[in-house]
Amino acid sequence: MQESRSYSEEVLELFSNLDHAGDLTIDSNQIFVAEVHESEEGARLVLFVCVNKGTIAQMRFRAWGCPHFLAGAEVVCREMEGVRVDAPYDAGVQYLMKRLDVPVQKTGKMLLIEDAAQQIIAAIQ
Amino acid sequence: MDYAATTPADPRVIEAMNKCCGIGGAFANSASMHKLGRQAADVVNHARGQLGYLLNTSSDRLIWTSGATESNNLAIRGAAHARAHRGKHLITMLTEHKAVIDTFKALEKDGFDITWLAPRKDGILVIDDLAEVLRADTQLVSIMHVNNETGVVQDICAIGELCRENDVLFHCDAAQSVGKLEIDLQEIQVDLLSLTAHKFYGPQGIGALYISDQPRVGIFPITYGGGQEKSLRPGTLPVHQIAGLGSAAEIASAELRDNMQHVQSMRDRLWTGISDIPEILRNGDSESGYAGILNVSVSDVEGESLILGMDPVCVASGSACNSKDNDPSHVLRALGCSSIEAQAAIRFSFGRLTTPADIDFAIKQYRKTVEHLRSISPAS
Repeated sequence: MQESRSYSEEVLELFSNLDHAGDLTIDSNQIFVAEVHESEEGARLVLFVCVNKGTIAQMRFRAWGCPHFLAGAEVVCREMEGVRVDAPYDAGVQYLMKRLDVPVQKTGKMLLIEDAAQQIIAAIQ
Repeated sequence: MDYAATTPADPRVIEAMNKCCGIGGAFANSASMHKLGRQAADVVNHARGQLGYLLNTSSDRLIWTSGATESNNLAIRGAAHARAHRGKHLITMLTEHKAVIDTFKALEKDGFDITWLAPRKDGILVIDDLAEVLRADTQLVSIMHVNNETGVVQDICAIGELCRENDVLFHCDAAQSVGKLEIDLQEIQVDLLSLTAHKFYGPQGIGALYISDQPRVGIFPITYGGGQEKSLRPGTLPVHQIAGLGSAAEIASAELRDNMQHVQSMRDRLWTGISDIPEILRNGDSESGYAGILNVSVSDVEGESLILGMDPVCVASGSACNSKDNDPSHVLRALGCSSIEAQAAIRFSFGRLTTPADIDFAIKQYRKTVEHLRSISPAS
């Protein structure tokens, strides 16, 4: 496998500023969690969402994975935070692959992020 | 801190190479009979002597190649096929460089029977394990000197002795040791030895293969097209690169001991600075390993993110030659590391130009990145 190990400017920016990595900082009785993992020894992602008055008030993630994977999780959190829970969110694998210029070998990792996003949407709706 | 991947050419090496380029230099085809050709041949022969001096061997036992990968291919394929009429059993280790492993895999497809030896957990080959698998039809053993990922040093003196006693050829991939550790080919019973210039401050694209004549070792060529290098490696010789290799060998002969002490002090400084990180694991034999390499793993950290997080410190995950694939290091897996431990492994490697300030900065970056990645891991 001869994949490029270079990263786009956006991946480098996101990786350096994982503002949504960590735990929720606001308390609520409407907290939702989605957890996905690639395999026993592969990438892992947990999404945490706090909903307030029908809006995603805060979103955080914890992840173990490559820079593209962490950047993808950060993108999803940045885009979903502040959005109404009934608004459609269709940032799927193709969107992430194109936006972050992800090597094709990492498609599985982006699918994992898509799965986590869909799980959390299903839970809050 | 990636000197095991390659090293910058020494300014003295560059000067020697520049003397061969362009009008007025020894740029001619060294096989040409005219004056300029003879001048180029003199440069080539001088470099052969410089390398021979470093290895304490006769210069006419050295064949120029493009580097260690080609030397390994020529030695292993050339010896296996030359002795195939006597037997087709060959032995190597699971922890070899891909240049050796893939060559053996190709021979396996050609009908050779390969025994893949596993090391102990510290990476060392137990000599008795090698003795046990030797057979009447064994023709070649290939074991590297210094492992490129862990710095583990194999006892090539004992391996050579055992092979010689059993009339088996011994090939050694010494890409990581030539110019860094003392190698005396009058003392070590090695039949074939591969090396490359760019690991010891010479240029990329030039290497050599040592072929013993006591006893005389016959190998077949793997490329054809001319009579150069005793017809074993045909092609016009790159005089400027050969001059560079020769110069690097001469410098190494003079400065090897000082360099060894320097890299050891750098490695010890680094290990002192990170060894208290919780759940840090030092991979490979820490007692007698080559001091220029330190390989460590930590839990709950993904290797690729660790490397990017450490930027601008240049380190390697596994071997730089195969770090573009996503598989965890085959070397560390063979040492018993889990897939997660292996992919989180970082190889620091040091050289002449590494300073204490470089080490201190690397310590700071490593600690900071490990702490950050652990803090966002689902396991934390």
